[in-house]
Amino acid sequence: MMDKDILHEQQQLLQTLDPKLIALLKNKKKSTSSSNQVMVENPPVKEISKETEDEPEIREICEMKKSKWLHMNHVEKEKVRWMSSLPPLKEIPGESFQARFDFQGHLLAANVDLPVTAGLHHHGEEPERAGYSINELMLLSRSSKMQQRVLALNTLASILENTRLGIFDSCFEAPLIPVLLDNGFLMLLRFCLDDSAPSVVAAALVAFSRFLSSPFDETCLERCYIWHLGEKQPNLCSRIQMDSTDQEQEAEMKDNEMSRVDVIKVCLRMDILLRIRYIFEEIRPEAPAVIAGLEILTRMARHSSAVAQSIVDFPRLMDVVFNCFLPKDVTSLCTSQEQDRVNNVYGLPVRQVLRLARVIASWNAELATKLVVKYSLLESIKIYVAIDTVKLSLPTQEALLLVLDSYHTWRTLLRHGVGIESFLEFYPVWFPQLQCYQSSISMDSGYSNSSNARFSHHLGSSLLLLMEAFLSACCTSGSCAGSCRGDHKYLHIKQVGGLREAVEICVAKWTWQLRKNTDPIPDSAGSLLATGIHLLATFYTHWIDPQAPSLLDKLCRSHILPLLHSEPMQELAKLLIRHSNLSSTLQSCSRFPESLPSVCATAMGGELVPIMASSSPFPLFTSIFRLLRIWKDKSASVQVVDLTIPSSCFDYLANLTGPPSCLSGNWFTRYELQFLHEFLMICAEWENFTPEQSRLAHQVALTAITSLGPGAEVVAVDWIRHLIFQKDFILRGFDLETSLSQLHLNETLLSTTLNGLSQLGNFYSDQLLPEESRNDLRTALTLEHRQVLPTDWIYLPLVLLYQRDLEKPLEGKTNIAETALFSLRAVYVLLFLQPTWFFHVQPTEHYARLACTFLAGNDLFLDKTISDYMWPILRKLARQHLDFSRPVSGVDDFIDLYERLIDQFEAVSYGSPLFAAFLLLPLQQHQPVRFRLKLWCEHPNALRILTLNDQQMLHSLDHWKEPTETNEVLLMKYAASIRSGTITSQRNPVLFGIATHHIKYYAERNPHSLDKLNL
Amino acid sequence: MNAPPSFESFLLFEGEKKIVVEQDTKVPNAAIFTVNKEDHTLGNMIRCQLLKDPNVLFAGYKQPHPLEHKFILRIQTSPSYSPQDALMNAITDLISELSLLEERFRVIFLYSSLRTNSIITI
Repeated sequence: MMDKDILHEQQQLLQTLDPKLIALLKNKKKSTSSSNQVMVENPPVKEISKETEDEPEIREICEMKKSKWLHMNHVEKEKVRWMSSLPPLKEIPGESFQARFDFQGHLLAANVDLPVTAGLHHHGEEPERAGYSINELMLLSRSSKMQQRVLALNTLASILENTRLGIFDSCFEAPLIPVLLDNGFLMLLRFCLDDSAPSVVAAALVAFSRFLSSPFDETCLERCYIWHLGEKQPNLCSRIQMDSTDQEQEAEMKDNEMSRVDVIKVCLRMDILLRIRYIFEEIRPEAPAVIAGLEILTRMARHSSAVAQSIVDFPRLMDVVFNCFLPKDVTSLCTSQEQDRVNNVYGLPVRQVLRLARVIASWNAELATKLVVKYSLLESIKIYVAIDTVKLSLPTQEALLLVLDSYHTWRTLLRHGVGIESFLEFYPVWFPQLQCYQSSISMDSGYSNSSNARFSHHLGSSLLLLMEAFLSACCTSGSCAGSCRGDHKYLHIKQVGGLREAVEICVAKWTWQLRKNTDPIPDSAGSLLATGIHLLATFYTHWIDPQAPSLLDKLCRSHILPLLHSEPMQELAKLLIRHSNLSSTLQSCSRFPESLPSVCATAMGGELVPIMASSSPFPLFTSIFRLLRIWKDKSASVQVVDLTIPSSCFDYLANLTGPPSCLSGNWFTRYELQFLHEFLMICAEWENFTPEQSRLAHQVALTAITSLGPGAEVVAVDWIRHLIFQKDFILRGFDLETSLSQLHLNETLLSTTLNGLSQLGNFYSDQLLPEESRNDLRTALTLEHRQVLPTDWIYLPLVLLYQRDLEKPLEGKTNIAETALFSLRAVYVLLFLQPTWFFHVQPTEHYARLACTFLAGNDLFLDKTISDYMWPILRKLARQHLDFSRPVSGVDDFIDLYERLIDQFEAVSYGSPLFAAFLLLPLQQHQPVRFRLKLWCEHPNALRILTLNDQQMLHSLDHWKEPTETNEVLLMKYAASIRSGTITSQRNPVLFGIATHHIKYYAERNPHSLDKLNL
Repeated sequence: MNAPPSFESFLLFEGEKKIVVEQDTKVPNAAIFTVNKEDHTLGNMIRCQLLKDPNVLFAGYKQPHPLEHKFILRIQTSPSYSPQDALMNAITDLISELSLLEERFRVIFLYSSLRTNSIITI
């Protein structure tokens, strides 16, 4: 409406209304405006106008009062203060400042200048800075306004997700998650879960799931499923061990105390299962909250089999989950129209349920059977596998992933021997699918990178791995009794007939395509081929048939070897270094508390662990090497084969010889170790490698063995027996003639040691990894991730001997000397063959471990054979840079250990020169003076029996003489010992020499001090 | 409660010998003496006395466990001499030294008591 129109309308109104009424109104208005004019003259108003000169909003208000609005005549300064403009950004003193986040959970810079319309400014502390701090968000999540609670919880969820990704790794003074845990964040979330508003509950559920687990980690674990043995799951139990007294008190512990020990147990205690069931049953939230709820359950199930059991046994929980989110009604699943987004997932298959089922089933066969029998998990899986994904009323991406998840879940079940019959029933469905792959899926169909082409590769991998799992389930399950090896009914009956032929054709086709390819192969194709080869490898492992060796021979000669020697594989081998966790320089992250561990798919700073990058070449190489090893095992004609491994593989090995990487304990490193196992075993079993390559392989085996985790005990035993203590392999790598002359070694000692190597291998594998512990975990699907062997594993038998001796003296046991002898032999051999590896561990640590030889038992070191090995080991060790001032792992205080050594020396040594020489090592002049004070001042009896001579010293005597002593207490003690006859020049030539030397030089420098020394 | 009877630390069990001697085969001229129901008091004294003997190459003792009331003494001597002799000599010397100590102590004690008496009488 234009002004003109308004005036026109006004005129019209005036004409229609009663003129008297108009006159009255006009009079009334006059009187009010006059009073208004009086107010304007009031002094406070003037003050305001002065004060607020630079605040336009307040000026606006002041101007408004001149207008005719009702009740705007009095300006209340305090109440309009909030409208004033922001104070200017202040320079932040120092380097640290309060962390503030935006609503997406991103950290905002200290001086970021955002417009106020972003909604991130508020009137709390630091009003000039945009964003909310964690404290403010926690406060806001208990706000009385529902929208604020939702906003705060959503923001917290995003912050947690980003933290778990590792984006904030080096940003905060203390890692965020442990701090939140200490400040009762769990309780806060629990309160929010009990909110009456459904939207708050949904937001709280999402925040809770982000607190417990990271969707990214889960995705990475899922990615592993297209790899061989990718169905292994990490055991994410609390890393804090509770001793027995703590366990008794567990019931009395408060929730916040408990959350420092074990977060998942606290979740169980606070009835999170009950809450989730209530939410699923009654609130029926939208998709994100449902998925979050399932993620919480999954993370809890990863804790332990007991927790998984309690989830399954919780009344009605799994019924709700399976009925609502894994429907078995085919007709309701399919609708004609395709949907891009689904908000209500009730009545639709949700693939996260399959993941939860997998994690639960991974624990043991009982749980797997329970899921199948009680909740008919297999029925659902069969429907999803068979259904046409296009018809599913799900977004395409979700539908495809659902099918993949179904395959993966079935594979997990098969690993426990559940679902074998159903698999055979379905064989008529599988086989045409395999033939379809044979005819229409090629290696480069992933180039277009459309999700469908990648999906068909992934689906193929899953299918082949499912069949592989089926084959090994048949051959290892109880029905097979383990002895029939390939004679199994399933392998010969018609039901799986044609499987080998079909897969061989696929593999042949794909290898040919790969060889002829000039472009790098797409990522998904590599793992597809790898799974095909793995399937054949498993088949040939179990298949005993007269024609098997010749068929395998043909396969390897005409397809696998040419592939390995081809140009694209050379290129692929160059990628090994870049994707290696073991040679990575990334730092491992420390963002998780011990009570809530995680698989850490991202290293420090949010970098993806290298092996998980999608172009990782490890799976393909692993499969090729595995098949080659089986070939070597089965076929006699392999000896003459010319095998050339891409030289980049050895460049990769050379990268692994340094000290272990921070990522060597990472969960995903296991897939690299699988590769390393096959590769190193090839190096040991085939004889076509140069000495340098063999030596490299030997050294890498020594370094990498400490990275092996539970489940790999068998691998560790293989390495110890067939790599580390394998005589032929060692002799191939080391030219003993030259090394003997270079190292001035005692030839007989070395040759007897080398001849006894196989004994050594058996000894170490039995000592470190007893038979019973090996097989338990071989078939287990859920594994802890820690390391099986410590870095000082070579000394472990000795250290164990010492510990046993501490508990109960080992008198008169025959195997003590043998144990010690074997350990020393191993130390001797490895010290001389792999000195660089040997001294990755600092020399003082070796000293501390070798001390066990003297401390365990009373007469071990008197044994001639033991001292024969000790002398050369100690001589070599003494030439290293020993620094006793640095702390040593496993030893609380070196001086305590030294005290124990002196006591033992005094009590039982018979003055053994070996023991004496060992005892004198920390007394060198460049070592801390406290060792010298300890021996000279507190143990005169030990001095009397330290009777070794110059030739028996481990190192040149100069190290005990230079630089000269300045400590007067010690010098006086030197003098007193000589005076009292505790040491004499005949009995204690070395000590006497050292003492007189220092006294002489001291006296020369300070001529007046002789009186003090009383000489 | 389950504390061992207090006499266990000084009363020999039935049939238990005070000292058991055993030849140490790993080292020439050496013997291991197990002395029951004794502790550092005697062990340290004997060891120190033995080490004063120039013909003793080594003398050392250890208490295997604080709750086992015994110590194990190891002695090695020069070829012309035997560990048993060394121990006997050490013990005789110790006894004479101790009786000397006792005697002197008595003299001093007597002397001082005399003096105190005299003070009282004055």
